[in-house]
Amino acid sequence: MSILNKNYLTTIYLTILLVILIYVNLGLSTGIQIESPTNIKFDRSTNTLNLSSMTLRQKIAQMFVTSGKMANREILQNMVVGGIHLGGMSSKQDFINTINYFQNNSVIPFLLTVDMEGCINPFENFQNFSSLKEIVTTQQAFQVGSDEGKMMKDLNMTIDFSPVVDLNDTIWNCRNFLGTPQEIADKAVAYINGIQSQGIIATAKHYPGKTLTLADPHTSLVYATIDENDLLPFRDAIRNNVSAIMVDHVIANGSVDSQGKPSDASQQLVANLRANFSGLVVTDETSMLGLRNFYSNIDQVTVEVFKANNDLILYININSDPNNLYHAISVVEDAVNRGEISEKRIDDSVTKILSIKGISVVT
Amino acid sequence: MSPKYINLALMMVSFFLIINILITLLFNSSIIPSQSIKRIVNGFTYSLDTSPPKCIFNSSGIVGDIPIDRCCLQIQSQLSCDPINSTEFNFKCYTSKTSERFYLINKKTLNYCENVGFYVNTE
Repeated sequence: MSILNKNYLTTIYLTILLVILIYVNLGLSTGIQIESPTNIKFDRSTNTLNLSSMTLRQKIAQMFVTSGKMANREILQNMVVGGIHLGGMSSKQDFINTINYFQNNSVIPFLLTVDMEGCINPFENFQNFSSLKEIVTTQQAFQVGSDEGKMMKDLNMTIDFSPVVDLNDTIWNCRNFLGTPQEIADKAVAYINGIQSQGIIATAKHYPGKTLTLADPHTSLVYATIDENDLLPFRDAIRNNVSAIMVDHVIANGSVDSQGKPSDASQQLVANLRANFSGLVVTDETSMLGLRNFYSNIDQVTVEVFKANNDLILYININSDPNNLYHAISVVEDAVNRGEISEKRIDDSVTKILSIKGISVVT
Repeated sequence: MSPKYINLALMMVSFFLIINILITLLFNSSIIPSQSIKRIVNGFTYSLDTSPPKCIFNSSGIVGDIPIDRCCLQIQSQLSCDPINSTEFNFKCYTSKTSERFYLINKKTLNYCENVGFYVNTE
């Protein structure tokens, strides 16, 4: 009798264990569930958002731009990610459908970003544009910028991560303007004016220069001595009201000094840039192998680029796994809670990002 | 049925569920589990392939080697990567089929990019 009781007791314990295991397995198979947020006070009729109604996580998420893979739409919307980056598509209609798909039901509209890349045109399947290398005059530069800006405006896009204003491109051989440093600066300013004349944000990149020349082609960051010529196109672009500057991972010394760190992780370099520039500071892609290899892990990369005071963080490489972005947001949230990053600094960037989206912020 | 057999069956099912949790925690931190399975397969294929990763950009006949992580970022933004018959390269990646500018990559590069999480449209 007692053996029978013991067996029944074991059966009960095992059944309880089984139920728990089934519950855990189901949880893992469905992944992290992120509910559509209901806390954000955003009045669409007046385009006014109460910043204090957003959680810290949601504000951090606003500072990320990630890849616009359609399967990830709901997760990205529910995380309230700031922007999505779009690559090449077959037709204008495909772009329109994708953009509508992402923007419909979004709690806060996404920034929609694209990268003309100087000579790699995501619209090429239905619209050709001259590459930067082919542009001869400033008038032509303005026209190309304006035409590209018009295409993006028609598609309701927000930011073009272009132009490259590096003086040399020995990797692709077609992504930058040709000429003397002053000619390159003049063409860059004209092109930026062309894009921005259509209401699209242009991005001068890759600060501080010398990023498209190779040291180690595979796994390491590039070390570069920056001179005044490298900075000339950026200074002219700033003087002519470029809206955004993308900071690269190059480890810089010379006319600017990143103090042995990647430029976009250097607080001093970004602070010096901000001393003369009040626009949007954008990182280059943060999942790049060289950057990850420089630090002990990707978490450290993420914290460092936030600490360096960038506004917008490119984290394009999440197509296969949006959990990486979810994790990155958690890592930054922890750093804020530890006091390594101030919440005010996050608020300042988010306010800037929301203003680009045409949203007025109240607190 | 004897409680002994019921307990044995419960233990076996529990064992498999525990193994499944361990595998999931070790190899799959994904919100979309099927993508992680693909990543594990790619990772396995990548480690078996001993050839060097190759990625070049052809700009109207001018050819340049592209660093692999920048290559991954770029080919993710292409419209498509189509298989090609070549001894050196396995895929041509482009924003337009008729474009004079395109990337050529080998299988090792494709597997690497997918393994580290980039999406490459090879369909």
